[in-house]
Amino acid sequence: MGKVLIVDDDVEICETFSDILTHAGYDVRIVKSGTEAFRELRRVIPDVVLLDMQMPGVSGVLTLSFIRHLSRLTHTKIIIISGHPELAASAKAVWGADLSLTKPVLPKQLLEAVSLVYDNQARVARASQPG
Amino acid sequence: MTIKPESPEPVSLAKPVRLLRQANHDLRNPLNALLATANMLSEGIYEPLTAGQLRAVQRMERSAHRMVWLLDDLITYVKAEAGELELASGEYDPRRLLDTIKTECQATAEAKDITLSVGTAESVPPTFSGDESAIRHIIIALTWNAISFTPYGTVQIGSEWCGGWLVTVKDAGPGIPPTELPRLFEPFWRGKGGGSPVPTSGSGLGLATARAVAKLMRGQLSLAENGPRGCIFTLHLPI
Repeated sequence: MGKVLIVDDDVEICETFSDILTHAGYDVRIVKSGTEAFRELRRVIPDVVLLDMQMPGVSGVLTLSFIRHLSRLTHTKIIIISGHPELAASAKAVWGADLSLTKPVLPKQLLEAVSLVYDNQARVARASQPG
Repeated sequence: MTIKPESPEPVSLAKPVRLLRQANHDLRNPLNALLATANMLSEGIYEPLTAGQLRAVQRMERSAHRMVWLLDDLITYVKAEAGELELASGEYDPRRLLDTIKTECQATAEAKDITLSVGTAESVPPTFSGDESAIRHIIIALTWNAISFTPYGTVQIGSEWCGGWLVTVKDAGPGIPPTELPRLFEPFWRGKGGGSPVPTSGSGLGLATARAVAKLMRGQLSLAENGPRGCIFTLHLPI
């Protein structure tokens, strides 16, 4: 199964989403800020990033923009998670996230969303491999 | 000494709306954790529960759902009042939308031994254009209202094509006393359920918000039938 990076400043949300995804077999890592995400993304290439839009310090939009500008993260899919439906929708439309979800996100919704973008990601990654 | 009444100042809704937006965000995180964790527990993901534990966790889940719904109601109502509610556009499947609403309200209906049924006439097209989320909000408000006022029996959600999309929500409650009808769509007003001991719940914002959103969509939300065997609310949307 794929690697998922959760970026959210809310500890309870991180642990809840981690439980859901770990139980489904994903390899999950958690970071609590955009700055921590930058650091983590230098070391690992996740298949999917779950990104909270409203974080203190480095915002979700800035983190999203950073990921989109790194060529080594071309195949990484980004799911925006926000408490504001409008913010989630605009992040998807304007900043190029792959999917957006509005809190509260239930386990079934989360698994369907991650599975959807992960399957697409895996297909594209396989197609771009030489030979 | 007499105190002259101050002349009323124009009330700005900008600050309350901003505060509410922030509260909305801050409340959604703990609610999300609560709801998702209760859901995982009830699904037996951590470990199987006893029947008593399962009932308790499902009660927590339903209550958390209700809190989310009240929050949605409040933010939608305040935004509509402040003229800040914007409608999105997109395509949606009306049958799938009604099925989703049924799934969302099913647990609350079952907890009261109420059967929730959904039926869509063949005349309804497979897709519509409009703001699916706003329409969902209105139909859920009508459904929760119907469940709230039905002591037992069936709540029926129907839909047909009638020069637009006509959605009907029929409850099996005691009806609304004529004296309460003028206040039916007023915010924060809560009916007494025809004087019978029907437990009512909610903020009293559901119908007021639903009508405000329907009006914004140039739709019409009204009470079509009212009697001792129940009410029928209709939503007519020009698609």
